[in-house]
Amino acid sequence: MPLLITRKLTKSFGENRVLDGIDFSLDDGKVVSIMGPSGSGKSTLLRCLNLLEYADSGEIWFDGKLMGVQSTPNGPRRLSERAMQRQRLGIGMVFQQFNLFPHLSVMGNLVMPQVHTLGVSKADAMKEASLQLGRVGLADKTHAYPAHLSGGQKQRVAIARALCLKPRLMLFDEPTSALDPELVGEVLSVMKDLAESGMTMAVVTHETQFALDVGEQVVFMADGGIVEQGPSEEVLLSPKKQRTRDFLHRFRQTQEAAEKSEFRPENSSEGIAS
Amino acid sequence: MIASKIRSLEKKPWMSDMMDQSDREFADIRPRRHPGWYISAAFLIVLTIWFASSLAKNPNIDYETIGEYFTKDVILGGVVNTLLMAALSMVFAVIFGTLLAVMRLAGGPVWSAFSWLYVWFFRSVPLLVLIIFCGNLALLFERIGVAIPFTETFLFSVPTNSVMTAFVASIVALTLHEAAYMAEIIRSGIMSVDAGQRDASKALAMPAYKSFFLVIMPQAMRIIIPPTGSSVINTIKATSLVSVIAGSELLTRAENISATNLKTIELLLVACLWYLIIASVAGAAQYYLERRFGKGFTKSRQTAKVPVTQA
Repeated sequence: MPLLITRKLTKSFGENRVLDGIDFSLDDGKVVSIMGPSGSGKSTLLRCLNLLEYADSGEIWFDGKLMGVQSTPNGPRRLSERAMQRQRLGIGMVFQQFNLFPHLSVMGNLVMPQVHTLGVSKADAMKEASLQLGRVGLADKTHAYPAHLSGGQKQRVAIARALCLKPRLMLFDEPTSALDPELVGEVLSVMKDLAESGMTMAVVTHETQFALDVGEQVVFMADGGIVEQGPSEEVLLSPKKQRTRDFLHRFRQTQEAAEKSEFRPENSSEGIAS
Repeated sequence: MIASKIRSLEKKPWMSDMMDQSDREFADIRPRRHPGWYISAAFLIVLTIWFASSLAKNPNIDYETIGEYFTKDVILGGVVNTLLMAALSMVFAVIFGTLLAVMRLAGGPVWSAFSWLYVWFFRSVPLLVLIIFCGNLALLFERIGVAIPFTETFLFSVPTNSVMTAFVASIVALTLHEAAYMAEIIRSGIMSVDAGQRDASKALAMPAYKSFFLVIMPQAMRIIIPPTGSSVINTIKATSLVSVIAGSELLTRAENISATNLKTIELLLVACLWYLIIASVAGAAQYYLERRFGKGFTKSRQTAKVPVTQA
């Protein structure tokens, strides 16, 4: 049985329907890349999965449990905030803007959630934190504050922080979109290691290469619905739907244009000096 | 495209002029001169000395009286009462204000409306009116205690005047008033914290109250402290208003003395000096609190931009 299943998931913000009947499933140990144009509902879908947003209708099954809802004789009713808090524990999340706690050191960021949600001792939490920091290659940044880290380092700390709670599923909401281009690689390589260690992951991303290399499955979304889903190669290299083809084509064009016009400081400074 | 723009820039004549002088030494750039600063300082110093000397030579001020009363027990007792009154009402106001702010933001529709109404009411009623009202509470309710609602049957009660002394009435009035302002200050602090912080603590499965005390509030403090410092100083000064119900704080005592010896200006100056001292100490305390809660934020801009690349 898949680790995660959504059935007919819908969600509206006022008049605007952002999710329109999302059905997909994710097997244990697999990586799904959720792609699509902005405003297609990718992030909202991810936020609904760990109950940061509440779906209006439909079901989310995680690890055999119905998320956020209990059935009563009068139909489904939303769970209490406390009960949802417990359900979230199995799901880690990494945000586009990192969302590290700026008033705590790197160690504090990793220890505090463990102590206050898992209830482990501070010593055990610190041991786990060191382990996870080593895993993302930041063992030397234990005492730094987030403001003193680069974007790539912040995102790796955020990944380590989520891993400390030993989640069964990791959600990544555009984890490299806020990064300078030269810092994207270090985050993707940590995510690749994580996938290889067998973590189940749902990744909202624009990195097609990552989706091909690491992800088994791609869900392509547009206008709140799933346009196409299947194995990565199939969806990305030979898409069946025109909508997917158009998006990938346009996406590749803008990428190539960006590479061509890339500002090269060494060239331009030569230009002025000569 | 950008490269071609830069190439067209090189051709500008002013640019080549500058380039010709490129062997000139620009390494030692000194700051601008500001002669205006010295002129302004001289002007203000002269003005201050003039005013001070006219005060010093003023025959209407009896400086011996000021010296005599400045450290007199009655006045020192008044200072202690002022401090006690301000401290107690501020502590209660912060606690109550935090509750009101949380109610407003996360208390559901009913408590949110209650909080809004409270703030509306106590910000609209002048503090002086509130103080007189609390001081005369016995005229409205003769006894206070625990009673069965909507009946006159008391389970336990005491005469209002026995608990609502002028001192207690002052604290009640100052607290009710200040809580409304603190609620708004704390609410703005909480709202200033990035929504992502709430998302992150939720995603880390932290219970709401822990996320409030460990994530939201420590960051909100940065925004809360400066206006709260003003509030503290305001409250210290506002205690002087309770002299209208004889609150036995600094100004009441100073006025009581001047009522008998008629040294009105001298005793006002004594009170004034003490208010200055207390407010300065409070201001210094604020400075250290700001430093404490600025951790992780201060100087971040300069150091965070250092590019650190790792493979």
